[in-house]
Amino acid sequence: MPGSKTKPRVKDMEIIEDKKLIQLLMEPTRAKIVFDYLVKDAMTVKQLSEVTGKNPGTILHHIQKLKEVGLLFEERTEITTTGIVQRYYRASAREYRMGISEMVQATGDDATKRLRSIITSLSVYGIDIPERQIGEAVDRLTALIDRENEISSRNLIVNEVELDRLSSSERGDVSRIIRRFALEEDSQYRELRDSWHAFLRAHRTGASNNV
Amino acid sequence: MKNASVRIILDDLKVSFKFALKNVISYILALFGVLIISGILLVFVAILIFVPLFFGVGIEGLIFFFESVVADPSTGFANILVGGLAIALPLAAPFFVAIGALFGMGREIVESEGTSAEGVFTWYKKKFFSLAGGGLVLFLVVLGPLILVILGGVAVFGIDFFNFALISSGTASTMNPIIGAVLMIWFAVSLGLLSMLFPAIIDGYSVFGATKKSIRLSITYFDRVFGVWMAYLLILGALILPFIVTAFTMSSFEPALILLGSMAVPAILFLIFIFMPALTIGLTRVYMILTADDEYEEHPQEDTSGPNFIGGL
Repeated sequence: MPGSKTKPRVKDMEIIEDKKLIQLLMEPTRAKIVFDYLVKDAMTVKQLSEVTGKNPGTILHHIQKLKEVGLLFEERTEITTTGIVQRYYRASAREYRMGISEMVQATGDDATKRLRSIITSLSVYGIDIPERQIGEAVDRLTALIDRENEISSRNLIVNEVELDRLSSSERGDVSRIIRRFALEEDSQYRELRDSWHAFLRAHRTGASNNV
Repeated sequence: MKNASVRIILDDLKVSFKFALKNVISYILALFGVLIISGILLVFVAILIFVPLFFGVGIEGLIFFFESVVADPSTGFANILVGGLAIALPLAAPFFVAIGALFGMGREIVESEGTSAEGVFTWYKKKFFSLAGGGLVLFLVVLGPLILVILGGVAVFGIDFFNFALISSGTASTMNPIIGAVLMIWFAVSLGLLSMLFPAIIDGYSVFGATKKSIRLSITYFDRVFGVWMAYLLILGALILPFIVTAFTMSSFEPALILLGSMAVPAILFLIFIFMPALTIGLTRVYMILTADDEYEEHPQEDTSGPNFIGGL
């Protein structure tokens, strides 16, 4: 009976905390497929093969893996004039974030190195954090992001039908306003944010290193 | 889109043969490669089977087993049949996987118009156990009832049942025509019911899930699945029947046999390198059409994205 089923809803944002999923997405081609293309629009194996330069078989294997874990779904199927049957795949969310703690557990040194690199790179904005305090900075940032992810992953939408009627840019704008509002409402988040900002302020070039 | 008509079945055939021809080089290379791999695996499986047997029952035991099959099939017929199957099935497994891997290539073609010879090895490796399991299910469902009937008949009536039931009282090479016809119908129906098995395994289903899916699809969309399956069987029949008929009716007429011999090689090449790929492409294509989620209610299409007013986060 046409119209009897509802297509899986594309979520605004999804936090990935499962270590296996994080490891799955660490593979560069899979990461590219999801984060660069399928979060924005539905695409076929052929289209993905063309934009990534990988052969269709490789893309199909990645698609199947991602579909198995629920990160992708089949949006629609079309038969072309040449007779091929194209399936359009779409990511389950428009934006993904990975839980920092789980990412560190899943990838070990890689995630830690990346976090340390982010902290040292703040120097380009005039914030110099000495080597001995990088660990502390990583801990503060991780706690802040974890809390932010926890709040942002809550379903704040009260009218999903209306949401579907919005244009993608409107949807993005209202989503950001509400997510920011929800964060500001949370006292634990505010505390972590203030502490992090104080830490940054203390290491701004010319400022005292004591926090 | 999902139901059959003569035009749709003809379209299915046309598209599958067109893509089989277009990708013939990939299929030739893939088939050679996959046969070599299967051959190597067959040797490996044979070693796994026969080396323990050699050390377990000794060379005399093995010789006795094979001699008992050749010399006196009435002795322990059921044991020989079951024992023979226990050895034959693992040996056949690499070839089941090879056939299944061709469906993987078919899937690549149906979704993206192209494939590569090396693609077959990826399917062979990644879906090895599922495809081997699929082959086993196919074997058991298609031949299982037949084996049970033979075993039951032999148990009740003795080995004479086998001779009378399957082979007429004439020469041993002449099969009872009624049994022959029943067998052909059974093969056509059971293979038709499982024609969506390998496409479903390639689509990510487990062996059990794929079996259920195949049977459900072939019953729900009987006209489309059996329509296209029978069409391939008719092509196969048209390809091999002239050889059988000529061999039986004109076996003493030398020019006919020479003509038959000269036609045999191109026919076999067509069968392996065009017909078989076309069959895998056609069945995969039908599977994908039948499993398309066209029952979903339509959501508005994504519009083109504009600039964001609210940044951050």
